[in-house]
Amino acid sequence: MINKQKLKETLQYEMLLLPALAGFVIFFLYPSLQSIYYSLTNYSVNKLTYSFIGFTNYVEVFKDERILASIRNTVYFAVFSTLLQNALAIPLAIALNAKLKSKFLLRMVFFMPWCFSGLIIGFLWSFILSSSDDGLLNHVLHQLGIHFLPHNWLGDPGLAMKSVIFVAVWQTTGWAMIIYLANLQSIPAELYESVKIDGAGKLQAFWHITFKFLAPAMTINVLLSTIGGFKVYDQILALTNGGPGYATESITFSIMNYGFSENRYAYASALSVVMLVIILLISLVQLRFFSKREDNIA
Amino acid sequence: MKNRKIALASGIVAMSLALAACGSNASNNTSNGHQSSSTDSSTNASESASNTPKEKVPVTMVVQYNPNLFSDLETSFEKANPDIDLQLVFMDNAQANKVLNAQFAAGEGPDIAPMNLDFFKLGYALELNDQPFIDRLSDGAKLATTQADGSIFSVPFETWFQGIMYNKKIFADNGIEIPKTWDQFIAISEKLKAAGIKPLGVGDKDGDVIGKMALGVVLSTGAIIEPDIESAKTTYSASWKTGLDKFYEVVSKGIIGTDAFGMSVDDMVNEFLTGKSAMISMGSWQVADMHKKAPDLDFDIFPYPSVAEGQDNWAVGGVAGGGGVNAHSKHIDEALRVLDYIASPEGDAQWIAVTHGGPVIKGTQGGLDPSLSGLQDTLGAGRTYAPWEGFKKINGENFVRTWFKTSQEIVSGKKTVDEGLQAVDDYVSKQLAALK
Repeated sequence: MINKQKLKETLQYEMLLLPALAGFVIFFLYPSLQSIYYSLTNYSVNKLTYSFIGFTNYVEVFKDERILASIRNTVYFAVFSTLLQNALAIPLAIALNAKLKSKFLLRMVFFMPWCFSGLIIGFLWSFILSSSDDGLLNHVLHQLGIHFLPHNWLGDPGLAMKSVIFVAVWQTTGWAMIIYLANLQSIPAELYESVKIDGAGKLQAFWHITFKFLAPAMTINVLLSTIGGFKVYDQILALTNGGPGYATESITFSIMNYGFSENRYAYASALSVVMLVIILLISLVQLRFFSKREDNIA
Repeated sequence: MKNRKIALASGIVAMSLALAACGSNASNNTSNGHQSSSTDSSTNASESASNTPKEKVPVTMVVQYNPNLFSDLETSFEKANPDIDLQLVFMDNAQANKVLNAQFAAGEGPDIAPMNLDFFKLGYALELNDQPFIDRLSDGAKLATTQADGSIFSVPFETWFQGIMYNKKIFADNGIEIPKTWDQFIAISEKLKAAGIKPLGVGDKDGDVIGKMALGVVLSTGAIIEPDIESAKTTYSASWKTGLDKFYEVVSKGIIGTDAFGMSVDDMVNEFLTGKSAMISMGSWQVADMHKKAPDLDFDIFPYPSVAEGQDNWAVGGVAGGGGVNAHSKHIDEALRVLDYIASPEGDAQWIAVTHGGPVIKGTQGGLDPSLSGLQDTLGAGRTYAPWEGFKKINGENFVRTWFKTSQEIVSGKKTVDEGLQAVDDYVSKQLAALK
């Protein structure tokens, strides 16, 4: 039997969700469904009166050398930027959780790069990493007499993506550090005391307590940085414009090219659906794995 | 109960803020507008007769130069048209296509902007055939801007051209002569290298510098083949192979390398202006800025060396600088008046005084900048061409950006010349097939 009073109260709360739901439907759900629909057509600037063509676009996507290269580049970027970001953020968070007088200033310094847009950071680093005589990094290395280290950071096809990953990690590690810091502060101090009594060293304390109890923060950071890695665009645009050739083009680059330069809307929609599915699958696997870790803490 | 009211009020405020942020600015003139192209002179007359101060109509126009350079032109235009506030907006050439596409698709965008065939097909660009300024265009400019079906949606303000700029002092001090062939170019580059001077500065982050230089050299083996390409009478693999095989010898000789990809065009120009490189592949649009940054630098330009002896030397060039009218602009009449002013002998002269391009309007007075005098004969003989501007069926801008990427792959060794040409031919075939 439905409790009318309870239903009325629940509906009042549900009403408050309506603005967010409306925004979600208008700005995400409807355009996404529309993209999926267009991906099954031949809609382009040359076929404004489009027709249904089934999965032809998807077949073409997986035959397109340029798109396959962009998928490989994107996976490479997402995996390594996620690994490096989290591998650096954890020790940084631990260091800035210690009793340091300057810890608040240092936290601000490390977090600050994340406050700027990826485009600005990209342009800044494109000047620093430039292979011209005025390129700051190479210039400083030459001045210091470290002549073997200056490289063609953005122009060498083998180095360009690594340079992009470096810049992305430089920008986002501070943000991941903040999430880990928040989690660190929730770990009971008694746990560390008890393992100390048991004779455990610092490394053992880190592995059995800190690393284990950082599971919630790790779930969020790894998930969000993976998703962000798959969507990378602005840093690549500013640093290398997808070059040299197609060496640093990401999936988003390909979508922008096919969708907004070549005006092949259906094809670009198919690629964006492929990207959605890849991100969805990887996110589900990650969530499953990391959720189990979180359950183990309990 | 009080908490629920606060929560509900907060939700409504949040929704309102979100909608306000997404809405277009009422004072921005780039939202949806009428499509009429006729001038309502009676309305203007009654408004000018009124004693109430009239707000100026803002017209935004994209330029691919520093907008501050055009202050004289803006002042003259606004003096002749006191009811219009001309606002010049810079947009980078490499990204303009994508940015404008997104803006036009949203029903927004500037009033005057570079237009292309795709924009016209999508209804973003107004047809300009009946406008009075079209007949003022020189024959060459009119031909370049007319589409295969006779429609015109873009009006140029200048011809642009490029070749190889060189530092006259470095050349004189090292006894270097202007090269006529690519072998001679390689020889002088090696001589400069041996003297400890960087022979050629290359900032190829976007692929355009090496890409256009290659085309400049290839033109000597046969230019203006695009109509035959579009009608499948020939391919780039057949036409460009000899020229590109010769051009890319500069890679094996170490004159051009992948370090070019780590430098921007600005880096390249700055190196040249500070005397760190002897030559750069550059053109008319950069000259004003170069003189401003290095007024004492004595430089000139020569056309691209030919592949073999006895062949003509060409400059890469075409028409540029203007644009078309956004079909969804709120101020179409005013935008047309801007085009009408600049596409006149007086307006065009003011435009090319800034950009150092060539005139496109009949009767425009204007001479070549002394630093571009080396191209006088080439320009006079009409040996200026930009292959991608020769396309009438497919989007030339997209074609050339694909070529730039392919050129980078050839330089980095990822593709051979033959593979690069095949990739370009495949791209053209796909684009032509999509039209069927």
